Amino acid sequence: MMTTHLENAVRRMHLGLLWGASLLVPGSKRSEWSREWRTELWYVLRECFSATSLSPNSRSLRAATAFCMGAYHDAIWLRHRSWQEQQPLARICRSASVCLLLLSGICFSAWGVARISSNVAAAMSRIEVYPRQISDNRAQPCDCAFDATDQGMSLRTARLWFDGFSHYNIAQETVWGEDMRRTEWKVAHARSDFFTVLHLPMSLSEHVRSSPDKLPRIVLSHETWTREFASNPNLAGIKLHIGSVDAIVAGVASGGSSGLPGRANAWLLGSDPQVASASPEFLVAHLSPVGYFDDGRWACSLLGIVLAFLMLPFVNHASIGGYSSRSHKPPLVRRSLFWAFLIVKISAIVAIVYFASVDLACLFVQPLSYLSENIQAASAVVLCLLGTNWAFRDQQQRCPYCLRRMAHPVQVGQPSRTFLDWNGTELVCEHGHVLLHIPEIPTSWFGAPRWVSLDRSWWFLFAGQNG
Amino acid sequence: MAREPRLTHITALILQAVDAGFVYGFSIMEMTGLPSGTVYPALRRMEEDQLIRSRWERQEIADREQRPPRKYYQLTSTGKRALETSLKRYPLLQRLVPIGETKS
Repeated sequence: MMTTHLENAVRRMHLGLLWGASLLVPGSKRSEWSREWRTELWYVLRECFSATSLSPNSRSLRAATAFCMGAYHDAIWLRHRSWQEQQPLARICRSASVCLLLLSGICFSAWGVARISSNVAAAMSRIEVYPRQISDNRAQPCDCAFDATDQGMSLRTARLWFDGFSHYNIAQETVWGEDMRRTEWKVAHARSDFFTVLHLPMSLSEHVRSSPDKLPRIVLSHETWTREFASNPNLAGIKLHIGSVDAIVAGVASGGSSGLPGRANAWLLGSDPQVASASPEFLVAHLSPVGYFDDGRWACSLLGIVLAFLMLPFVNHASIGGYSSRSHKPPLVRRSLFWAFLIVKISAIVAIVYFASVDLACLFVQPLSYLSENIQAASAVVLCLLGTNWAFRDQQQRCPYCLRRMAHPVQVGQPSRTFLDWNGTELVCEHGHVLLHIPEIPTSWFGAPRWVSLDRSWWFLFAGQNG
Repeated sequence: MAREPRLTHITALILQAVDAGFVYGFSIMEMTGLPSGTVYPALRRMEEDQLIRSRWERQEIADREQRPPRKYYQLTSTGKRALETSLKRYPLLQRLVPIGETKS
């Protein structure tokens, strides 16, 4: 009676394990899969309970549990297989050309981000680059992402980075128009070339009519245009009264101008605004598109890459396979292509590392700061080490004939006490060119992975696949 | 067209076991000494590659013997050819799993 209870408990526990594994199996195959494993478990448990007359010993129970754990391998394999069937891309990705295409894509993306991030550095010209409140005596920096003076930047250095300076002051003004009731706005008084100097985009400006009486122009913020004028597209050219002056609406500011300090509702463009002690005034500058690289920051990435290559022999132990005999060596052309592929991969990785380190330096901290320099150099070292390690490991598992990734790894052999029997992982080229043997424990007689060429007698197994 | 078969040591060993009459998963495990996590995925892959085919035992046979029905595996003609090639390469396989030693 006791034994029956124990048997039931053991059976339920193992059925539970199988049920858990069955959840990993694709739904369409689950019932067939469960049926087979439950059947097989019946035989395993029968062996387990028949081995001893009274109760199973711990060894046979462990064997039954190990059997059920194998079901997880099987379930994961089926799930993986199902993904592969759904994604034929997974097989395509093994080819060398796809690998190079992906690397080129990553390189191009990193370059694109680097261009954007370094080109108006820090997306950049939300003009927050160099604003400083100068009119009040406290001379506190504005709430901005970057303040050059805090970093001891001389004006001479700043001029290398910036290609346009301007300033404006903010005043509270009463504004009204023909179709507009009186309202209070924060109006920024700026020079007439304010938007040109700071490369700020402006919409609707093409519709503005010429004003014969040479009235000053006013540019509305996007928010004001939307709120006060319901995004009226025919607004350009109408006259507004701004305090004591009249002005013609010249357009609507868009893009980076929303980041300007002071949060003005409009910019009144005219003669050089006078510094008024009562109103805050801001000095702003536009960062030169090539400013970042002009400062010599490119050297940080290159230094990092050189350092990484110097460190590589100490951190990368991936060896690229030899051949089990001279006769197994592929022809010289194939071998040359194989090594050329590795060189191209590493070149692409160096380019990716260069641009990606600039991206990291610009995107996550204030650009042009000392911290960004450090991030750039450190990320170049780390990314280069990771990338080259990947390149070597990837190369290790590429067929020397067709450059495709080897597939279907299987464990072969058992660990030997004397190290005289080989055990390790065997992979096969999907086109049937070679097997790759990677030793589990490198020994003096089998230290590095080896390729074993498959001769013509194997080819019928890979009909239509030999390239 | 079927995907290309992969003839590794393990595939060859399992093919030889099936050919020798160890025709369901547990008996193949017992004969080859391979763990379940290796044998069953290998059997599925070989079935996909059309080296073997499977069929379920009829329920009445299983009922008569008071056990659950088994899923039996059998070599296909492609599997037989693959096994012949493997035996040329791994002649020791025949000694590991001698043909004729069957297990019900």
